[in-house]
Amino acid sequence: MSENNDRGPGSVIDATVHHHWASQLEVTDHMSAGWREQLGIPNTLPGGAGAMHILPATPYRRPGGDYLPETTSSPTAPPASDPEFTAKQVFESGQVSRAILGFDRGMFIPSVPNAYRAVALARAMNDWTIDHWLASDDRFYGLVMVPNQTPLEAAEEIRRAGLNDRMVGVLLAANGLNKPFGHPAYHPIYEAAAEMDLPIVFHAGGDQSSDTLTHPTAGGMPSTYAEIAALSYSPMMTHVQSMIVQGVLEKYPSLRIFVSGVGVGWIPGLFFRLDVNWRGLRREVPWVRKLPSEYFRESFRISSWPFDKAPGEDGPERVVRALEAFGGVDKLMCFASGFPSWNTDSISDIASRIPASWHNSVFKDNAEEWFRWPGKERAAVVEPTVEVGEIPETGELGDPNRRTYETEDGREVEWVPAGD
Amino acid sequence: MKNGIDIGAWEDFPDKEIVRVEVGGTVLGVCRWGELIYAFRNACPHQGAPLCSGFMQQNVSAEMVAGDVSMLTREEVPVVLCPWHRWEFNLEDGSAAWPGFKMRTYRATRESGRVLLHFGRK
Amino acid sequence: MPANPNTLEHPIIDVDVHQRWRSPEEVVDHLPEKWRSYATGRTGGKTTALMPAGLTYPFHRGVNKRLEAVPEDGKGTSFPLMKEQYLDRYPSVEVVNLTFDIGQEVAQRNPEFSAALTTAMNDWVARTWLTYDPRMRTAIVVPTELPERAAAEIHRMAPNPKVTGVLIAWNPFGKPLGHPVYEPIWRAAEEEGLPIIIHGAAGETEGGLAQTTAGGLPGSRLEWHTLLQQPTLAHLASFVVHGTFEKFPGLKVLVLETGLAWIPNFFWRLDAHHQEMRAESDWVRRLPSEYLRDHVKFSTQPFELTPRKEQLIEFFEAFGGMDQLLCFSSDYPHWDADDPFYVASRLPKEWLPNLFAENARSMLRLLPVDSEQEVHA
Repeated sequence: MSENNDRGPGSVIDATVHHHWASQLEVTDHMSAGWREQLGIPNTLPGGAGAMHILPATPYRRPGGDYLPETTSSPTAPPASDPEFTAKQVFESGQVSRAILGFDRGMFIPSVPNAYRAVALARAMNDWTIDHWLASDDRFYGLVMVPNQTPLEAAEEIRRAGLNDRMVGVLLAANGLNKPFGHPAYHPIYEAAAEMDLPIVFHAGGDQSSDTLTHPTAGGMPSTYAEIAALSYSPMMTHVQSMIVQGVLEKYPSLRIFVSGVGVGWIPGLFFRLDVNWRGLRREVPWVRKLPSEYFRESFRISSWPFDKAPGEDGPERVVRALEAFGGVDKLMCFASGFPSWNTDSISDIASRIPASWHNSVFKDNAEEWFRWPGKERAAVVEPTVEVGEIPETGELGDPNRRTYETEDGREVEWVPAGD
Repeated sequence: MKNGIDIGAWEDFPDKEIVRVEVGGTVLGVCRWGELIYAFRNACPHQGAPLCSGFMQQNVSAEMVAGDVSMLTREEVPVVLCPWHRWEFNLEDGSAAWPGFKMRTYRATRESGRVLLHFGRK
Repeated sequence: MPANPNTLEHPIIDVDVHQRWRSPEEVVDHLPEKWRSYATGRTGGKTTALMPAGLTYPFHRGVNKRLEAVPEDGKGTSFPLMKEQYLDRYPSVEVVNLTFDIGQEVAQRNPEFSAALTTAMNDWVARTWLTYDPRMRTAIVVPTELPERAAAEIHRMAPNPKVTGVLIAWNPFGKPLGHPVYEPIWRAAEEEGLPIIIHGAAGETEGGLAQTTAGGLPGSRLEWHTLLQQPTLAHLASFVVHGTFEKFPGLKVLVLETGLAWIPNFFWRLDAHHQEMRAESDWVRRLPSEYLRDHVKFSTQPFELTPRKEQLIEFFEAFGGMDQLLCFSSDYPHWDADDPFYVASRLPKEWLPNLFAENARSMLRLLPVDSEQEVHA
């Protein structure tokens, strides 16, 4: 792989940094008086109580902790909750010129069962990001957090908070409606994002919270964090495939999507299979009029973090060979550190694992092109040319093809095996 | 023979049905789509399936037109769908729903109430 | 292209071929009287008597078969058609491993009925398809919701030398299969030298607590079918974490109908989380991929296709050792079945002896049978 792993000053965009609050008061202070009263104030009752906690339950936690050590400015503060301290850590090498803040566990808040609280909290979190973080360092950029269980309110929030020039995308993490993200219920969110020319960002972990009721794995709920973490790419496959197959990219042709937190190793396996299947099952979804991988290459970019690892000395080389068998991954992948997550990737490590010819596009150019940076004119919405959901007539049942058969007991067939 | 091989009367080929025809050891599918008639080799370019056991539908396809992809539906161009994986091939030129595979097609014509098959390049 | 049948010189052990009764009566009439009237009475007819707990992705016009493999009267599957379209076409087939019509009828909300049904289904295949041709072998179904009964069914069927393995067609607890609740089944299978056979998403039809995909139920058959491997990811990870292969060192697992291209990334992801697994389990003593390579193999169907043939080979070679993991399966007569000549044409020649026979031989229980005596069709 690459010999020269030193990126020059300012030559890197970090597409995923997770920011958090030192106290939830920082967020709730951005809410109405009614909500402030109802949510309360920590430490105003014995034992630190006094407030309704705003973070949803997280049933799977990493043994040994979820974060890098020494990412807090004080022993009791959560990691990456101090803007100045975090800026120092993220930018200290001088290589990173811009970092996109994507919330930490706060990103799962819109899945809380109280939909009104979710809307109010999402607004407050966006205002908190703008006031508390973007104002503190001009190298930080934000993502609009949306309460996606109420898609119309989510769309409204995109149109409101997305007006801020430093908001460069829209974050969809928690799966608030328990449906793959291509489901038509979610479409108002994409309409608003396309209108604002903001890419949609999917982040790993959105199906892990107890509050979403979706499953983080197929086949049942695992017993350990390790299984959840190892398989975190599987719900993302479901979502990515759903966006393509359910016609979101035909309905909103200019929509861009960024996937963060699941690495890139799952890409070849998904599309080697989906492309073949499309040839035979495309009439079920006739609005999907290109090979699915074509939509993927055009409309998706993927974070490198956590970059895939194969065991053994030659592991890094094997990973790149597997990606090269799919081809063009250098045009899809954007560097992300994932800071301060336990598996944070460093610039020099990723640079050493990928070919030197990929460096410019992965570390900067792809993200430069993908996110809506300040000063960049908002691109016009592209109108669809296919009616998604329409099933065209194919002439199959026309005369004289139609034949009539008796069922075995004269009743209508209501079930035939369809497992493959 | 310069006008092709006589493979039967027009009436022998019911509309929208695939008829299996053997000519000189080669098995072909021959089918009518209204006033049009087509012939193709009885082997899917994917895995060799007997295409004669498949069925016909209208073309619903993505087609590259001057670099643009557009959806053509309800057009009077039929396709044959493979009985195995249901891949589909245009009866005019054998093209698949997306480039990469091509069904072998032959020219069939109607002359004086007879159906003639023409081997060689279309 | 369908090459000359004689050009494939390898013996073929086909690990996944499906058969269905022509009428549910063939099974229903052999249920104990109580369950016979239960099954037919609740839906008012035979057509739906064995309808399982959930199934929501029906195929275009309700036919998920190769069209020429559907009998003229549309009922069940046909041995004469199988002989003409499959056995005669591929004369080097040595073993046909039958796996029902994926066996999902056992997915019943009523576990006692499920238990009665598995017995009737296993007796049915022994009475019918196993007698049609000396090459026929079968996997048996078991009532997974009653693990002790499942173990008893394994012991009841194991003396039949044509039984090759145990098909897990229902995940009733919503737990990945490494969960200790299932251990009586694994113990019985290990004792009888029978592998566990997991068919893609068969146990996770949508009526179950376990879901067919992570992240919500997909909206089309295209999506459902593309992600058939997802439940298997959780099951295999779960076997590692719960030490299934430490507890049952002789247990083997054969994964059917999930394709192949997901395997490299999956193995790598598990190994990358080895430390977390060790911290959360007492059972993880080796690299996860080492357990899987020792105990698990995968059927080749539905075989993925890359624009260039070399891409898939390069992809597998980057992973390494794929030739040790694959067992050929056709999946005949289902719509997405693969032709053996086609599979042979897409992979390196050196892989083929293992892929077509030797790997399956190390998985399935293949006992000698006196073919003259057994066949009375």
